[in-house]
Amino acid sequence: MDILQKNKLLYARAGFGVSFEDFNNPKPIKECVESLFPSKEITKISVMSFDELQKYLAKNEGMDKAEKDKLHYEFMSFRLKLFKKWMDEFVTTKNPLLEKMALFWQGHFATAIKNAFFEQELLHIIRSNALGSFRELLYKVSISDAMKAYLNNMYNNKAHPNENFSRELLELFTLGVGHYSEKDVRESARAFTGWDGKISNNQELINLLHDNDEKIFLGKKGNFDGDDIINIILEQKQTAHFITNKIYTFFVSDEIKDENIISQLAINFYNSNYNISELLKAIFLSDWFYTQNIIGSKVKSPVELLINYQRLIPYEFKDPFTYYSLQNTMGQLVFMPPNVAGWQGGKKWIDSFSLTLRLRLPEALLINKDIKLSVSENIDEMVMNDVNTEHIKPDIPLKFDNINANWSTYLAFFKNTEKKDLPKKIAKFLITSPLTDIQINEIDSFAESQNKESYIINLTILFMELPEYQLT
Amino acid sequence: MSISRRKFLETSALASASLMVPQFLKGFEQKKIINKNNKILIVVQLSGGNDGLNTIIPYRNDLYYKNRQDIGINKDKVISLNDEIGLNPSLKGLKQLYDSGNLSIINGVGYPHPNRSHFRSMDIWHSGSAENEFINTGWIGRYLDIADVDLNVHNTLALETDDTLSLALKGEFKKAIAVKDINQFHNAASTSFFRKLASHSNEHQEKLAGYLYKTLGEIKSAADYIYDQSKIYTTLQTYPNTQLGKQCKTVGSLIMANTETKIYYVSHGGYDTHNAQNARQDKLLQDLDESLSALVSDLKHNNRFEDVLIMTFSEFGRRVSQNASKGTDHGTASNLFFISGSLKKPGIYNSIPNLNDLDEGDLKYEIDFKQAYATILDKWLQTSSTEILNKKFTHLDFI
Repeated sequence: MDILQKNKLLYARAGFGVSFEDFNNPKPIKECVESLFPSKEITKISVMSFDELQKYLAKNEGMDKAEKDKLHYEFMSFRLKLFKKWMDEFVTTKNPLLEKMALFWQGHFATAIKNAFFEQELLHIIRSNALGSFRELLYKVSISDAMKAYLNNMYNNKAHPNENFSRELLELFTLGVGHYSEKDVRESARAFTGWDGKISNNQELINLLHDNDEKIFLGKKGNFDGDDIINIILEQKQTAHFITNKIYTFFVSDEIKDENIISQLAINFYNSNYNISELLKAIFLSDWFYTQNIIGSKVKSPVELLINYQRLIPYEFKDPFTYYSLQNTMGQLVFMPPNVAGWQGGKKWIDSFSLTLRLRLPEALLINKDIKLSVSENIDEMVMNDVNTEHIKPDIPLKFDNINANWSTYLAFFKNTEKKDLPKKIAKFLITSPLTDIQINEIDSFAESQNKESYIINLTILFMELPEYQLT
Repeated sequence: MSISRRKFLETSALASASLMVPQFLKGFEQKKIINKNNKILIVVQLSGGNDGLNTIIPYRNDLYYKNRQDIGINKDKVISLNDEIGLNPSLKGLKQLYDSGNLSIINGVGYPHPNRSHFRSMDIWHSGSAENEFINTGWIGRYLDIADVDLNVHNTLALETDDTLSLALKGEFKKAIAVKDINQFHNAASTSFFRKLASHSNEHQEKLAGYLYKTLGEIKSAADYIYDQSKIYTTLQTYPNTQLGKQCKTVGSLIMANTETKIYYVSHGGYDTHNAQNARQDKLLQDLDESLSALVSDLKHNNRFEDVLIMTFSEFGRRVSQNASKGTDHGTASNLFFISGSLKKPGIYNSIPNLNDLDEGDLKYEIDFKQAYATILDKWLQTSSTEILNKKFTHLDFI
C-alpha cells in the first residue's frame, strides 16, 4: 500500500477523511498517528449553568399549560444549542479522533435523558476521558447524573434495589453477556444502593440507603460498595477484551474479525491499566491495519457522512432543528441513542430509505437541489411527548434553501488540475477504495460541464452519491 | 406427482442450478414464493401509550370512576358491549365491526416486569424479546429472514408506511421497505444516475460494497414495483384526510392491486396523554376508528376482508388513577384489537384485569403479547413462531 493510500485509510478511520494538505503531501504514518492525539487539555462545551438548571426546575409549579409549554420549549432549546455546539466542533476541530472517540463512548454509555445540563456534563466527562483511561471514564460516567437518571441508580436503595444500572454495567459497559450470573447482577445492585461515588459522600444518606451487608460478586466476598464492584470488574481480563473488541470493530472493520489480533491488543490494553490512547496507537501503527481487505470494510455512520461533506464544503443549517431531524431520519441522532445498547453500526445503518437518502443527499445539501424527499420534523420523542403534541408539524421537504454551501476552498484545491485529470483525482481524493477506470468513465459521462467549476462540482456530487462513498 | 414431491424437485433443481449461475444473472430470475397463501397482516402501532381503560371501559365498575373522577367516561356515553364493558364513544365504526363478528378484543396484554419507558417498552414489543433481553432485530424482520421467498428482485414482502424503518421490521439479513410517499420514493430512485448505479447491482463481489449495490438494486425494483402497483387500483372509498387515513388508503390500494406484500406496518402517534387527556384521546381514537372503518369497507367491497388481519397495539397502557392534570401517566397492560373477515373467536376474548388487584397502581397483565405474535406467525402467516420468537408460546384462538 502506498503512503497516500495509508494516509487516506488512517484519516478516514481515525478522523473524517484526508485533508487537502495531507492528500497533497502524505506523511509517514508514525508522524500522522502522533498528530491525532491532542496535546493540550480540551475545552468544555457548555451551554447551561447549574444555576440555570435550578431555575427551570423550580419554575414549574403553579403554572398553567401554556406557560409550562413555553418553559418546556425554552428548556429544550438548550438541548439544540448543545447539539449545535458539539456538531460545530466536529467540523472545525483539529482533533477529529477525539470527537470520533467521544461519539463512540456516547453510544457505548448510551443515555437519552433530554436534559441539556445532564447531557452537557456527561459529554464533558466523555470528551475529557475519551482518549485517556477507561478506568477513569467508567467511574465518572457511572456517577454522572445522566447515567444515574437513565438507568435508575438514583432509585436504587436497600429497601427497593433497582438492578437496571447493575445489569447494563455488566452486560453492555464492561464484561458482555455470558461472563456473569444473574446472582452477580443482584449482588452488584445491592452494592450500588445509595451509592454516589466518593465525590459527594453524605454518610448519613448512605447509612439510610446503602445495603451494608456482605455481598458475593464474581467469586469475591465482602461488604462491597459501587467502587469495589467497578474495581473487581476491571480486574477481569474479559473487560479489556470486551472493550478492545468493540473498539476494533469501530475503527478497523464491520466485517473482519481477527481473534488473535484482538486478544493480543486486549492483553496490552489490560497491562496498560486501560490506557485508551495506547490501544488506538497499537491499532493505527500496526502493519495489519494497512492491508487491502481492511479498505472498504466499514460503513460510514450518518454523523460521519454529514461531517465528511461539511468539512470539505462548509455549510450551515439555518435552523439547527433541521439538522437535528436530518440526523434522526438518517438513524443517528447524537445524545439520543436508540436504546441502552447504543448504535449498532455496520449494515444496520442501511435500509431502503436511508440508502436512498444517502445517494441523493449531497445534491440537496451542497447545491440546494430539490430532491423531492421529505423528512419528518416530528421526532419520536416529540410525538410521544404530551407537551409537544400540539406542535406536530407537517413533513418538510428535504430542501435546504439558505444552506449556502461554500465551495471556494474546495474549488481552489483543484484549480491547477487539468480538466482531463479531474475525474481520477477527485475520485482518489473522495473515495477510500480505488475505483476502476470503467467506473470513473461512466460517472464522468454524467458530469455535464459548461465550465471547469461546475464540472468539478458535478463530479464531486456524483462521487459522493456512489455506494463506495458510504464506505471507508 | 404429489405437490410436495414436485416442490422438492423444483427446489433442489434450483439449488444446484444457482451454483452455476453467475452472480449478475441472478437478478433476472423470477421471484418465486413457495408456500404462498394470500393472507395479509396489517399492524397499526399506537405510539405514546394508548390509555386502554378509556378505550375499553369497565363502565359498571365503581373503582374505575373512583380512580378517574375527572376523566372517567360517563356511563351514558359509553358504547356498551355487554354488562361489564363498553367502547370509547369515538369507536362507532368498531362497534359495527363488533356486531358483525369482525372484531376481537383481547384484554390485559403485556409482559412480566413491565418497563414504563416509551423507548424501552416499544423496543420490547418490536423485538419480541423478554423484558430483560436486548435483541437488535424485530419480530417481523426475523419473519423476513426465514421467509421462504426469493427476494432477489424486489424486497417488498413487508412494507412500512413511514420514512424510517422501525426495529420491528429489521431482520438480521433482511429488512422491510419503508415508504412514506410512494411517488416521492419513486422519484428519488429514478434519476438517470441512480438507475445506472442500480443496473450494476449484481456486479460487485466485495462484501460491503456488494451489499450496498444489492440493496440499491432492490430499492430500484421495489420503488418501480410499488409505484406501478399503486396506479392499478383507484378506490371509490372515502378515507379520512389525516396522516393515518392516507396511510390506510395506500395500504388499501396496494392490497387491492394484489401486491405481493404480506405485512403492512402503520403508525399513529400522539397517545402520550399526561394532561387534558379526554379531548385528545377521543380525537385520536376517532381518527383511528374512521381510518380503519374506511379500509375495512374498501376491503369488503373488493372481497378481500377474509384475507386480511388488522392488529392494533401500543407500547403500554396507562396508570389506573388519573394524575393531577386530568391525564394519566405511563402504565402497563392494555388491550389489542384484531379486525378481520375471518375471525374464529370474535367479540370480547377475555375480561379486563382486576382493578382491585394492582401492581404499584397498574394493571397486571394476563396475556403475554408474544402469545399474540406466535398465534399470528403460526396460524396466519404459516411460519414457525418458535424459530422467530426463540421460544414456544401458547396460542390464542381468535384466528
